[in-house]
Amino acid sequence: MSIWYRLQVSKNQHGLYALAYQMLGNQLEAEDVVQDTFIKLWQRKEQGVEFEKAWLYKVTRNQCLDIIRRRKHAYEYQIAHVVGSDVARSASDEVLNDELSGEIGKAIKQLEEPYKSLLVMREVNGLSYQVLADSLDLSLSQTKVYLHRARKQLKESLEKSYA
Amino acid sequence: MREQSIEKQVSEELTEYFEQARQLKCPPSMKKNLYAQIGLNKTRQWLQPAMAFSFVALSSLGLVWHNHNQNEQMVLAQAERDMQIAMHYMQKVSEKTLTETNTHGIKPAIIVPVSKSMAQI
Repeated sequence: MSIWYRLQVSKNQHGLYALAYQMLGNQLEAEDVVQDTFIKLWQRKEQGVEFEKAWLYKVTRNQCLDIIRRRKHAYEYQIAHVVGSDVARSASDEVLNDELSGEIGKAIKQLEEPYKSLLVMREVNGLSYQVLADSLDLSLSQTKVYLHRARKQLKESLEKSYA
Repeated sequence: MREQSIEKQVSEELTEYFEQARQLKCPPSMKKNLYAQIGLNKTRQWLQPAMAFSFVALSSLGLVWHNHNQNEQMVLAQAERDMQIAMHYMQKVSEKTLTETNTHGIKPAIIVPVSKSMAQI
């Protein structure tokens, strides 16, 4: 079992990290998310996991979305309670801290979900449409449509900034 | 024309960005912390002695094989020397007349080294 587990870690760690990093824009958080995903896989090893790849990406994405939601709440809280203070400003700077520098990183960050995840999982991780569909609980045709929209939105946003 | 060049620039930069993103590797600290947390590092405790034992076993096997090989070469060298001695006596016998070969001293001097070297080969 541990050999199977080690194989899963070796095979998927870089892809999951790329997804988490693109979603969160922070190395340490991305590393933590990947670690937590694999801990969840370890805890489920007795029950077995079907379609491991899709499952791993789904868990990673959900964890990233939780972190983004928590960040948003923290940011809104700071704004509501200590507006204008230096504390609020530094907290909001931290929340908006963007390690994915450059126009493309910013444009990807601005994409709505599930477009952002789909684009990263397809373009960076090279996952098949079927794995994407399974990871995000979408149909195959929905996946293709969303991915097309994601690419279109990204290109439009970049073309505007270059024009 | 300008639209086309912007589109081309965007496509090129996107390709390059995704290529760089693909090169990004998960830090080794993740794996290390993960295995420590779930206790998978314990397997290394038996893995390392097992590897050390395998190394010692392989080295011993190599040494035995080397010694065996060396012994075989020594035996062959000895046999070759014996053969040369035998050939030397055969040469001497061929130079002698028939009456001379009937003397008792020559026969064992030829037969013993030849039969010895043949047995070893």
